[in-house]
Amino acid sequence: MFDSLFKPIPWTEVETFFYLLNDLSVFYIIIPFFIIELIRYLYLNKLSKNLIYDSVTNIITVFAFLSIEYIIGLLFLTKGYYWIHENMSLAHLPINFWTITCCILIADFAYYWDHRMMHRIGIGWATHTVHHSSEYFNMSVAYRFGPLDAIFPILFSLPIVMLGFNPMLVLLAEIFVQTFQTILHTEAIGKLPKPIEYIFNTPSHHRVHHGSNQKYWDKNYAGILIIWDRILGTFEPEKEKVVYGISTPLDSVNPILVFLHGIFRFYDKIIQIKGLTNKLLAFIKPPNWTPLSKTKSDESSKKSI
Amino acid sequence: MKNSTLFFRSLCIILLLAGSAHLFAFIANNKNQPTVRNNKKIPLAPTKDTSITHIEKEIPPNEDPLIGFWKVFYDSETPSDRISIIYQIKKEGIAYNAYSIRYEDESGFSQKAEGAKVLTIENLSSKEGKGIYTFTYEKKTHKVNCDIKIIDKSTFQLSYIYFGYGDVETWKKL
Repeated sequence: MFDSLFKPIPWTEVETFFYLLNDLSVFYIIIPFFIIELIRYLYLNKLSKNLIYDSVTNIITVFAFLSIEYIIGLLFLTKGYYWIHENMSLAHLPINFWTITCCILIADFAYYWDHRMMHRIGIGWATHTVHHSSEYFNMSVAYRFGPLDAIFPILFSLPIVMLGFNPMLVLLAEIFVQTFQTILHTEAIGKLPKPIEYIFNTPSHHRVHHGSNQKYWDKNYAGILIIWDRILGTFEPEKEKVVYGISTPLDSVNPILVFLHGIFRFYDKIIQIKGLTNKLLAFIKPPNWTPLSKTKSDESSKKSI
Repeated sequence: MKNSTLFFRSLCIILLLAGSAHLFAFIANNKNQPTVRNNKKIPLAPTKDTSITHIEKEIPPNEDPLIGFWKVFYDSETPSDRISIIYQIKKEGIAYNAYSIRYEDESGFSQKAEGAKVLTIENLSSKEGKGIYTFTYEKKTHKVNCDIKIIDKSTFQLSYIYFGYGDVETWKKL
């Protein structure tokens, strides 16, 4: 049994494995489930024009996001990852079941910190607020991305490559984490059995993450495993009814405005701040930070928008 | 939670996951693996082989120039013991892998090889590249980093140094 854990796996099999889980899941999980969600909205008499437009906008933002991701990939990612793998990495790890598992877990842990950073620094929230700005919570919201959402994960995936993992495996593992995250965006599933809720991120935990209720601010950053939140002090169970969205609602389904509103609001904030040092600090300080803010409680991300 | 607590807990998680991956990779690497060749004195069966022309016909046109069949000569102390090995390079995912196909001696006798993977090239530009070369010496399999130098479309040189012993192989495309 142990031998099979460490037996080399041909790259073609790895690609097929992730192709089934990452690429094809759109057809066998996400689209069918989204249709079920729409039927559910209809049954509950909640299906509105605004919800449909909001969903269409979400899909449009994903194409904008993918365009940016593709350009970055062409310019930097592919060559940069391999250069780091060759010149700045620990011993190259083989491709086997164990290293693939470790790579997925590390990619998941990196996702936690990437996600936490996007909530906790000004420029991060300027792009990630797009994802939280919908007042709905369904599969399409998972595709609601901001303009810089493709850039921040690079900061966290490059160190994984430096640990010796194959760059392409790291990218596929990151997409797998993102795919797992996608299926959590639903109100149609309640709480799952306790052992699952304890270990894994679930729709219930992720609803909390999207809540604009004050007690839910900056909680449950996890991708696949909720234990990262439990270990690092950001876990919050779903108790009170979740109100989705951000504290200063966008009130628009215009795709361009949705995609760029975080950057526009951040720009307005920078203009109002006096002094170059303070302007620069606004990029890395928490979203609600101002040169006058003193307490940590005033700096939560959801409050700033 | 204190920043220092966050830092140390995160560090522990990374060390646990990356460390275990490296530890088990090291253990697996030390186990006997069903690889390789490079025993330069191979008993050859007295069957005249005509499959090289067959191999040539199998190479699809307009393909990646690295993909296909390659021949390497290995010198010996006595010229009559000089042998060559034919490898097949395939692209598998992101890497090029070379597998031993057939042994030949100077008199044209040949023997089918084990099909073991002897070379993995992960990084290759138009002029040079890096890879991992696998060989067996005294019944032990060794993996070493090697450099690839592209001479032209049908020739490249593979060089490696292992514990002071170095070698350069010239790979010629068939």
